[in-house]
Amino acid sequence: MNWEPIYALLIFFSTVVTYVCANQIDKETEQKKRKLYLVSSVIINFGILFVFKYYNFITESVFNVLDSAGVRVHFPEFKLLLPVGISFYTFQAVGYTIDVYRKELKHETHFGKYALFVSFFPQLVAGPIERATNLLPQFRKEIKFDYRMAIDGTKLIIWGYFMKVVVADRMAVYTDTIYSNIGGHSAITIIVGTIFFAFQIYCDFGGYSSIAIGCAKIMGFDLMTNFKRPYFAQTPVEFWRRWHISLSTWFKDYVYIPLGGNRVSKTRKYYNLFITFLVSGLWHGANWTFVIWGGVNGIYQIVYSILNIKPSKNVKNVFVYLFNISTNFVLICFSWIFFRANSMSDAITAISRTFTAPGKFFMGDEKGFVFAIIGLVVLLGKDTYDEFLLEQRLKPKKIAKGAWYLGLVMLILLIGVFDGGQFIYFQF
Amino acid sequence: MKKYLITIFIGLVAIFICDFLIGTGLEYFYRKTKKSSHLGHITYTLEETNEDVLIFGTSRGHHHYDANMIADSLGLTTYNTGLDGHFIFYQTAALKSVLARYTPKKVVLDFSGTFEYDQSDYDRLATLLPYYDTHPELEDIILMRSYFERYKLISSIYPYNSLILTIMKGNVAKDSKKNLNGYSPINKVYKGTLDSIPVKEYYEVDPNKIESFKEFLKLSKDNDIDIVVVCSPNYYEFKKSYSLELCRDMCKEFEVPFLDYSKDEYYLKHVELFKDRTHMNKQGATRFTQEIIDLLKKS
Repeated sequence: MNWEPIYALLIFFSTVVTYVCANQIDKETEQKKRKLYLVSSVIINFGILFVFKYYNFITESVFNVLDSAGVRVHFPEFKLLLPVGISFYTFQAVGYTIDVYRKELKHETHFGKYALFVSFFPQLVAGPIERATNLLPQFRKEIKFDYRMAIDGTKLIIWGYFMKVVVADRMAVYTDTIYSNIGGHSAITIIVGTIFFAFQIYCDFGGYSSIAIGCAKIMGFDLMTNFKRPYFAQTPVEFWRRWHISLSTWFKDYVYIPLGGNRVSKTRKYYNLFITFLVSGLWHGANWTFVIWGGVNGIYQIVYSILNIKPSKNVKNVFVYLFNISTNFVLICFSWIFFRANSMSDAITAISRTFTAPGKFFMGDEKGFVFAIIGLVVLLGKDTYDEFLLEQRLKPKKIAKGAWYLGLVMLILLIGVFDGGQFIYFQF
Repeated sequence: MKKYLITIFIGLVAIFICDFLIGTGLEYFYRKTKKSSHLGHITYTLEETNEDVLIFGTSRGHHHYDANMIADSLGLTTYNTGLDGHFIFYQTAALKSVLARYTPKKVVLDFSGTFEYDQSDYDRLATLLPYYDTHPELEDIILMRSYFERYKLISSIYPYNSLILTIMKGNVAKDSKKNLNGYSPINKVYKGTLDSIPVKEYYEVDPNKIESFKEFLKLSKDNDIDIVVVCSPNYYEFKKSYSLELCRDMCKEFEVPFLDYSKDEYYLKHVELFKDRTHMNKQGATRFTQEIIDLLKKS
């Protein structure tokens, strides 16, 4: 992820292109022309994304394939830095053009309001990828300061920082140590490292989303929920309804459904699912590890669909419920190995060593490990409360809520990592 | 809006009070950590040393120089201020805080590490945060961590961030090494073989590190301290080290003796003197300290 002032021109260009195309789509009555403007907008926007994010990956992959076949073709190489937030605002702007094309939305004629929609600062860098149908109407209204929203926003910001600084960055210290030398660690260490990564990425991205949504709330805007306690999901299908919801629904609405969705033959439906997840993997990064990660998740969807496994609605049956969420967690953790590994060979090493490398457990920095566990316990406690008790109206008193957020701030100061790196999703 | 601002104000007051109370408690127990503990060792180095001879260094310095042997042989009180993982920034900070109180007669700087930029070297300056308020001479070095450090330090807890368990341990653990004067012997023996390790022959230097190293030499010279820079033995072979070249050049510039044991044949033939490739064990440290004593006697 990189930021140069010149990259603002890219956002501006993308905004102008989608604005002009959407304007033309809205005006035109001839379907052929409307389609032409839509295709132009999609090609230009994804073209920019392709050049900056995927060009070198694709040419390198093609070169390797041809090279193994004895054919040598040299592609020009560009050393381009990935502009900050490009994957997010490109998807948001393209989604808008499609919505206007589908007549689900009237084109926003006010360029300033539309530009604000594309570049709304809290979610510009790493989402949530907003829908014009949700955000644009809010820009049209007069915004009055809302005490309740501002308080909720402040709470979300505190919780987001806790997730990022106390849990994600603390766990990152451990997972980075393990995954930077994956061949030197035992099975138990790799398993713990992968579990830690599962919570690291949840808290890193979920933390950012929480801060972004909180900032917007203080200003009086409601952004969509991006994470809904994903590790309480009982199946991979449910997991994707709780994880990075704004991206999952984007792919559902603009890739899966246009491919035919589930209103086609079963084989075609499975194909649609698989392709959608492969593309979703590629969206995350120009690396085969992300493509495989997407593919593995696509396979989960297909298998669960074939076996018709659905989440148990009877949460009171604790054993079934725990079995389901545990099974799902193991499957998701397996896929995270591909996401986290530095290369495909590292991912394969991690998987093979999980089954073949007995040995001692490596704790690394003991104090850091203990702090990570403390953070995890608080996280799971909060998520458990939100999952099961919040809707049962077991709401704590005001003073208890205040003490809780005060405690979170103290924990941030006491055991948070202040030398931590950037948010993981900034790189996408 | 008014109601929100009042709520935020009340929240900030509550945070300030809790931060002050917890921070004060942490400071109290931090200062009570035993001298031989990690934190007690730092406090002693920065605030209480009064010895004639001081050893500076990283973990290699910490484990390679027996302070009591030097004291007994030279008849000069000695303390080993070496600290694991802390390169030149910390060493210069330590020397500055020492010089704010008194001037030692002799200083041995065990050189290790590189002059290449490494963010972790800046991150580790967190070690000095508990002393920010009471040691103005450390301000410049602490602020190298980041410009915003001075604002973060408004919090009373922040200087003790991630230290709560270390503080507890430092108060509870036995003061077992209190008579070793900072020296930390290792009893393990290395089982590996003598390997050739790739060492960088050139890299882009971090100007802050160069400046800090020069400042250490200059402070010593300006205060008429008998200083010697030493690269203690290691158990690996290498062709050329840019870091050592830079160190040698700077020592030459300030007319400071530089003793390089990194390729010393005797140590490379005696694996039993090492704990791992870069650290000597107690046996190695005893032998090496004797060599340094002989050299210090001559100087």
